[in-house]
Order: sequence, then structure tokens, then C-alpha cells
Amino acid sequence: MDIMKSSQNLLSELLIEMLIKFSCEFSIMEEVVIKIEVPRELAEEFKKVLEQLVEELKTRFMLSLLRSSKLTEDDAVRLGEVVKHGMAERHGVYY
Amino acid sequence: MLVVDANVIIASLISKGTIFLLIKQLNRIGIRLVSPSFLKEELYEHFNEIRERSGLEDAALKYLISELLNLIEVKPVSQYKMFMKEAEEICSDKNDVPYLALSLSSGKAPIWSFDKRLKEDCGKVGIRVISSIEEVIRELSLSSKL
Repeated sequence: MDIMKSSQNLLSELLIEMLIKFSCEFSIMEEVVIKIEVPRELAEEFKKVLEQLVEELKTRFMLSLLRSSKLTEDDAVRLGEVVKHGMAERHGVYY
Repeated sequence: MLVVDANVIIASLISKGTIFLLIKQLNRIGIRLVSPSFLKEELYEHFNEIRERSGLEDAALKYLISELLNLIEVKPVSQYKMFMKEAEEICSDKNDVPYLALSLSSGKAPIWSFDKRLKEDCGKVGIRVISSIEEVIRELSLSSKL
């Protein structure tokens, strides 16, 4: 289990590094494939932990991106109306 | 199933991240979040405006929007087209028509919206509109108990 924990830490660092890197540079989404060797008997358990970890990382990453947002509640309501108007138009509601 | 208004989706880009986390949590516990058609098209149509108001980097905003869109199922018009006329008769704001039609087509599914007029209109036909974070949290705790 110690090996699993240290692999998890290492992987978490790697993923953070990659997510930060590609958030600054990407224009097209790209799949990142990492090969990790674990004992076959532990593979399923490892996969479950890994999936949870990636999900948590993504959430943390998105929250850190959001931190710099200057959007206000008033902006959200106004922009929401603009988006809704466009959606209604495309539905033919205004014709 | 919960119909999500575009104003909630835009509000999830506010720095506190509360709405964003609620969307993730609702999704995680299996509540289907749905939107009428053309949400993606209109979010990208107004991308520059959202970017300017939020001050977010281009890449960061694209990433956030694409992740949000992964959590929300956009329904095809064909699924609620037959309720558009009825919705038009109920709505005092034409912009709300697709949302109401989608809700009607799904057995009066509740709508998550900050729009006061939509809430009033929906009240007339017995559609529940969740308009505060507290109500969403209540919804979450009820669903977790099921």
C-alpha cells in the first residue's frame, strides 16, 4: 500500500504539472497517457483510486482557474440573458 | 432531472466557485442536468464578451466551458418541439420558452434559474424553479438520502 501511496503522490505531481502546462498552451484538447505498472491483483483498486484522484485534480485545477475570474452576479444575469436570447432566436421563437 | 438555465451556467464562472461545485456535485450523485438546444453555440457566440467580463485567459475559459458542457446534457429540439406552443402561451419572456418547453416535455421537471419572471411564470403551471444556492443544497441532501 506504501508503494501505491507514493505512486499516487508522484502521479498527482505529474498531473498537476501537465494540467498547468497544457492549460497555458493548448488550443486543441489532447489526451495524456501515462503508463504505470502495478501488481495485477491491485490494478482494479489502483484504477479506482486513480480515477478519483484525477477527478479531484480536475476540480481543484478548475477552481484555481476560476479564482482569477472577475465576473459578478450582475454580469452573469446579463450575459445569461444574452445567451438565452440567442438560444430562443435559434429556436425560432422571435419569428 | 433538472433543467439548467444559461444564467446558472454563466454564474458558475464566478470566482467563488460555489455554483460550479454544486453542478459537479449534482452530477456526481446522478442528477441529470439538462439544457435546451443551442447552449454550446451561444456560449461560444458570446465567448469574447464572457472573456472580457471575466478577465479569464482564453485557454482557461475554453477549458472551463468545455468541462461545464460535459456535465450538462443538451437536449435536441425534436424532444420538446411539441411543447413550444404551450410554453409560448405561458411565458411572459420569449427567452424562457425553450426552457419551459423542455420542462413540460419531461413531466414538469424542475428548473434551476435565477430569473424571477421565469419563476413567476412556472409557478402558474406548477413547475418548481430552484433559484437559490440554499434550495440546490436542500435538493442535494434530499437526493443523497434516497
